[in-house]
Amino acid sequence: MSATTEQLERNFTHRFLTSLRRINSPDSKTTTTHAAGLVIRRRSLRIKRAAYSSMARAAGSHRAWTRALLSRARSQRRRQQHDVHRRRQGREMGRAGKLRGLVPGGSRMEMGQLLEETAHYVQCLAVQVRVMQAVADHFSSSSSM
Amino acid sequence: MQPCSREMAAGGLNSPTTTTPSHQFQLHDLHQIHGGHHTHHFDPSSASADDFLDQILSSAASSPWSSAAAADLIKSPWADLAAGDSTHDDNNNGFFNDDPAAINLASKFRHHQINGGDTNNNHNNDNKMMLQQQLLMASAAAAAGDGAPLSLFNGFGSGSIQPQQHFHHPATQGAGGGAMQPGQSFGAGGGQSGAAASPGKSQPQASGSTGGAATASQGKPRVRARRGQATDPHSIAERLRRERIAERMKSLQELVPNANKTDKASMLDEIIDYVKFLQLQVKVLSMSRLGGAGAIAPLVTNDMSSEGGGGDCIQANGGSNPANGGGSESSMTMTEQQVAKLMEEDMGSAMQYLQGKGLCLMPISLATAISTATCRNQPSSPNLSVLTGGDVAVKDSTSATKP
Repeated sequence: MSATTEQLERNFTHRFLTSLRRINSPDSKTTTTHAAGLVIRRRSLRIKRAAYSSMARAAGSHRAWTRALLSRARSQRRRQQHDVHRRRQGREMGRAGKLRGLVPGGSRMEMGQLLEETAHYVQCLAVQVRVMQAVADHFSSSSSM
Repeated sequence: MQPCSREMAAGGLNSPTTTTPSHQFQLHDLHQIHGGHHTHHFDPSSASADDFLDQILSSAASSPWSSAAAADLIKSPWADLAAGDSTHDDNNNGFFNDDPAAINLASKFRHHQINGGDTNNNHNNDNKMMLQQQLLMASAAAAAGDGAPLSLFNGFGSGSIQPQQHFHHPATQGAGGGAMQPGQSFGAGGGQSGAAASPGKSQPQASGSTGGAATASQGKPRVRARRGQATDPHSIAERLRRERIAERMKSLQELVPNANKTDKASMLDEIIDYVKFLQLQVKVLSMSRLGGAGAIAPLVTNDMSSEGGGGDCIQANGGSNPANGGGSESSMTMTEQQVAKLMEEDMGSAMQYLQGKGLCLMPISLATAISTATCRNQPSSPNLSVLTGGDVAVKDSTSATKP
C-alpha cells in the first residue's frame, strides 16, 4: 500500500507545484487595485482549490469522490457558483448525513459505498496535507534564511 | 492585558514530550526512501519539477525544526482600537466557520500526531505538531468572544526554534485552553489503546447495534435467533449489507486515529471529525502559502500614503530578501513602520508581510518572558532583538535559540 501512496504523493506534488507556479507567476492578478487583504484571501482560495483539484486528478477518476470533486470544480470555474446539492439519499439526518456532506459526491452514495469512498478520501487527504506542509516549510525556510 | 494572562495560563498545558528520538529515526527512514543528498540551497524558480520534488520531500524531514512554526496567534490589542471592525474578521477569520468545533478538532488530533500514532506520516510528525498548534491557536483566537478577534499567524516563516522554546509560547485564549484539557486525556487514552479494533464481544450496545453480523460470530444467542429466519431474501440481503458496512468500518478504523471505538455511532463521529480536521488543515495550509521566487504579499512602500495611491506602486517583495530581522535597529524600525502602515489598511496584508519576514506579533508580557528565558539560557544571544512599540513587540522569531 505504501508503494501506491508514494506514487500518489509524487503525482499530487507534481500537479500541485505546477498549479502553484501558475498561481504565483502571472502578475496580472497581483497588480490590481484591490485591497491587499482581499488579494491574499483570493489567492489562498485559489491555492485551496488547486490543491483539491490536483489531488482529485492524481487519485484517478475510478473513484466517485474524485469525479464529484472535479465536476464541482468545473462548474465553479464557469462562475455558476450554485452548489447543486443533488439529493439522492434524501438528506439523511444524523451522522451519516454529516459524512455525506463532507465527502464529495457523498449525497449520491449509499452507506457501503460511502464508507469505502471515505476511506480512500481520508488517505488522499492525509497525503495532501503532508505534501502541502512540506511545500509550506520549504517556501518558508527558503525565504527566511 | 487580561488576554495575556489567560494566554500565559493556558500555555502550561502545552508541554508534551519532545519527539526528537523518533524524529531522528524518521529522518533516517526518509533518507533510505529518497536516497540521500539534500541541500538547503535551492532556487525554486530554476529547478526542474522532479528535482524540486525531491528537494521538498527530503528537506521536509531534514529541517523540520529549522522551519517549524511557532504558532503565536494572539489577539491583537489593535482589535480594541479598531472597534470591532468586522471586515477584518471577514478577511482573516471568515475561513473558520465553526470555530469552537475547529478548536476541538485541532486539540483532539494534535495529541494523536504527537504520539506518532499515524504511521503514514512518520517523517512529518513534528511539522504536523506545529501545524496543529497553529490550528488550535488559530481557531482559539478566531473564536474569542470579544468584538473582533484577529488571528495573527506568525506562520511558517519563523525559522529555527527549539521544541522546548516553542512550547513557551502560549497564545491560546481561555476557550482554547479549556478545550485542550479534554484533548490531553483523549490523546492519552488513544495512544494507549492503539488502533486495534476490539471485537464487539463485551459491548452492552451489541443488542441495538447494526454491527450484528460482526458480533454474531461471537455467539450472541439473540442475533442467532434472528438469523434463524434467514431464508427470507430480504433479510439475507440486509445481512449482507450490514456485513459489508461493518467491513468498511473496520478498514476505516485503521485509517482514523483514536479509532478504538466499538460503537458504530461514535466511530462515525470520529470519522467525521477526522475528515473535518483534515479539511481544516488544508484550508490553513493554503493560507500560509508564500510565493515561488518572491512573496506575493504586496507591500506598500514608504512613500505611498494608502491604497488610494493605486495599484501601480504595489511591489511584490520579500522572498528574495535575506533575513534582515535580526539585524540593526534601523531595519527593525523600518519594518515596524511598514507594519503599522499596513495595519491601518488591512490586517491581512500586515500579517502576510510579517510572515514573509519570519516575524510575529505578540504581547509585551510574552515577549519579555521569552527574552528573559532566552537570556537565561544563552547569556550571549546577539540575534535576539525585541523592539517594543506601544502594546506590541515585534520579535524576530528566527533568532530564537537554534537547535
